[in-house]
Amino acid sequence: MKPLRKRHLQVWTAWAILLPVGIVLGWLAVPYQQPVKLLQSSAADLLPVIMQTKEHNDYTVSIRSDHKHTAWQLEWKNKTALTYPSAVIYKAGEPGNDPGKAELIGRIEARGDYVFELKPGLAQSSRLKLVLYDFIHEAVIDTIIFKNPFRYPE
Amino acid sequence: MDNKEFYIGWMPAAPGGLAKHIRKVVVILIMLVITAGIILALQQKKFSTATFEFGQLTEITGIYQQFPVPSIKAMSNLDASGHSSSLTIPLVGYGKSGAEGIIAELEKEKNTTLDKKTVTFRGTLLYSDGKTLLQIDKNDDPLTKISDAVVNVPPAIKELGTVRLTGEILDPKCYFGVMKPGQGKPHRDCAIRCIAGGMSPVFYVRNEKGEANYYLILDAAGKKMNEQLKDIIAEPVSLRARAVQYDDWIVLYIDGMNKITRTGGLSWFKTKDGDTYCGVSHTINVSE
Amino acid sequence: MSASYVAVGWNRQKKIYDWLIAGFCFTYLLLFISVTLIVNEQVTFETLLIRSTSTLAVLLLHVILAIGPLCRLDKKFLPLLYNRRHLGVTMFTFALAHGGFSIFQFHALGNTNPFVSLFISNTNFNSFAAFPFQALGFFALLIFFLMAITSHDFWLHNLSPRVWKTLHMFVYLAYLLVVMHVMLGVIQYENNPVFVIIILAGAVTLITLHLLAGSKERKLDKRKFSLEQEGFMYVCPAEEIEDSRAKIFCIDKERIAVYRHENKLYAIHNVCKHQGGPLGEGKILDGCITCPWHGYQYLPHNGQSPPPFKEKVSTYDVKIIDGKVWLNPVPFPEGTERPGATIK
Repeated sequence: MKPLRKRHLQVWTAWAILLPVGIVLGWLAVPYQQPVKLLQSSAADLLPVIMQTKEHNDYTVSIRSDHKHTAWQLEWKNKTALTYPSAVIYKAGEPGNDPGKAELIGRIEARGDYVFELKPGLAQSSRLKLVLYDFIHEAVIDTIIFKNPFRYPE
Repeated sequence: MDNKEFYIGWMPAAPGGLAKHIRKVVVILIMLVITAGIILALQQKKFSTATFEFGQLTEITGIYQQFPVPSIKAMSNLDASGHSSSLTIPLVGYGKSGAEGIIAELEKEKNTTLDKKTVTFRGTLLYSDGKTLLQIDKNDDPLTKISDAVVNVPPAIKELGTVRLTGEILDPKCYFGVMKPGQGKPHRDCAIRCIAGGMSPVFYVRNEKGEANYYLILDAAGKKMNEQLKDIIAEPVSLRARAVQYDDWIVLYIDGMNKITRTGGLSWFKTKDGDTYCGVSHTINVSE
Repeated sequence: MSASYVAVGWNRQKKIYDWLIAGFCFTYLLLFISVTLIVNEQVTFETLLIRSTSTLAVLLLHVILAIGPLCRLDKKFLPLLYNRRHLGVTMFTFALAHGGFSIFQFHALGNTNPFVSLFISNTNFNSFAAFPFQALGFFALLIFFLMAITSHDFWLHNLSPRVWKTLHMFVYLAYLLVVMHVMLGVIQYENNPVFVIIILAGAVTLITLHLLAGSKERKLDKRKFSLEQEGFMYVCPAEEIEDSRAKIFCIDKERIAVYRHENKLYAIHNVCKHQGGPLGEGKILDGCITCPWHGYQYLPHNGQSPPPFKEKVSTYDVKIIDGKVWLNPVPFPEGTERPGATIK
């Protein structure tokens, strides 16, 4: 039994060196992935005037224009990562959300900021109803309504 | 402990002094168990919001594309003016296998080719971070419709030039849905097995905000290089490649393994370099 | 202590011990799983299973490895030692759940047999950072498996306590493998210093306990006995040995326990036949030397277990001259009756 006791002590003396060294080396070996710059939207520059903004937990949607109100944009900023297999934005007709009767504005992904041109012809309409639609699941994710979207809110 | 006290396990009870001591030890152990359980649970990284619609089958109609990876280009509903948007959904097989095997089986069974035809696949969706994939499994009778004629709608192709990127090679099925975490060292063996099984490898690049770009990987000739990638999966690597955008995915054409270098290891000994990066354009064109 | 083998010889204290083990494990799993679900609801069932069982097994392993040296340092911890094997088997069960499910999760449903895949997937044996950490876990699990299946007294007797003890010393290797499995595995992804500090704190605690206990034992083994007379060595004054207790002396590599019983001194080999427990740290109960580890008993004058038990240890000659104890380190065959020495 004495050799066994001696072996215990020998093993733990060795471990007293090996364990801390192994733990520290393992910690140093943790890969550090340098964050990189991702290519961002190559869309048109943002127009300077924000006409209206709607806040949602997951995104912020704004109508933008220039000073002379000749050009219009829809700005879509995702705040969290969306969890849908697909997401497209339609400008829906009234009533109903049928994409077949709507006008497709564009597709967005789970993250990032998006800018879409809006046709100036819409300037007179009193209501802009946007539908965020998951065409893979054929389900409406959200509807966002702007009243008098192309005028400043009263 | 009183020297008169002596513990014998097979006696009905331990002597008083000993029992008192052991009760103290038990209280310490309870506190240890509670602290460990809470701290270990709280200190874990957040899990991704990836979804695998396990047990739920969805039918997807679109154009099947063999290149760059087996995928289905699904179109959104036509709007009033006949416009639609598209989403390229790479296909994966059951378990840790790519889609090529089952596609070949289906083509043999139907005695036709699928490439560039309008098809309807029934399968299990998995999606995360703007990317969607479809698992097709022989047991789900996955091919429900196939057009006779080839549809000629080529993808929008854009040359992005030569890029140098730092990121991680991962298998898309686990990362975009099935496993959490589906990346990094703990998942490494699984990613190796999935990519060996024919899953199209994906290159994952992230910025400091956690936002990511995803790329498909092919060799310079546009062929799969799954076998060669085996040893550098799921660890930080730098690579140089020709980048070409196909609709909503970018393909990296890598001219040989010497274009990929490890950047992991003991991070203290690494130097920073001036990589340039590129990602998928966030403007997704509406097709006319 | 039993004359024949039964699956588990239950008694009241073992039951209390096992209920406590079950209570600890249940509390841990409940806390880990519910806290994870509350703060991290996106977690998958598989990951929850893999992580809750693995962390629990590592926690249990630390407790198991601390019990031995704690008992050597302070006899008050001995009740924890008595049923340590059940703790070991419990730890193995959780480690097996972790390992088995991980092999399924990460290797099954692929183009290769999962057990083959375990060894051929990651082959970066020449890299520290990319090292195949799963193989480390597999070998640790294999050691725990061998220990768990041989944990019964049947194996202890058939393999001989010495072989059995040596086999069970591989737990130290398994511990090293587990630490590196964690460091080169999940830590490489969960690069949170809290986990590293926890692992390091666990290792430092165990190293300290084992080195302290080891050096204490070493001191006992290293004592020199210089006075010799006709084969007898002078060991200590007679009054130093308390009644019903013993003192241990290590002469020529073997430890001998000198017991005082009914005003006489008797010397027997210090090593219990069961698991090698230190008989000299025991006590005389009902006229029998009782091992502190598991309560095996021997008669002081002949080193035999009382019938129906059959264990026997070596006996030695001891004599008292002028109140001084002299011990002859040459053993008599196991179970040989010796007269002992009367204290005046």
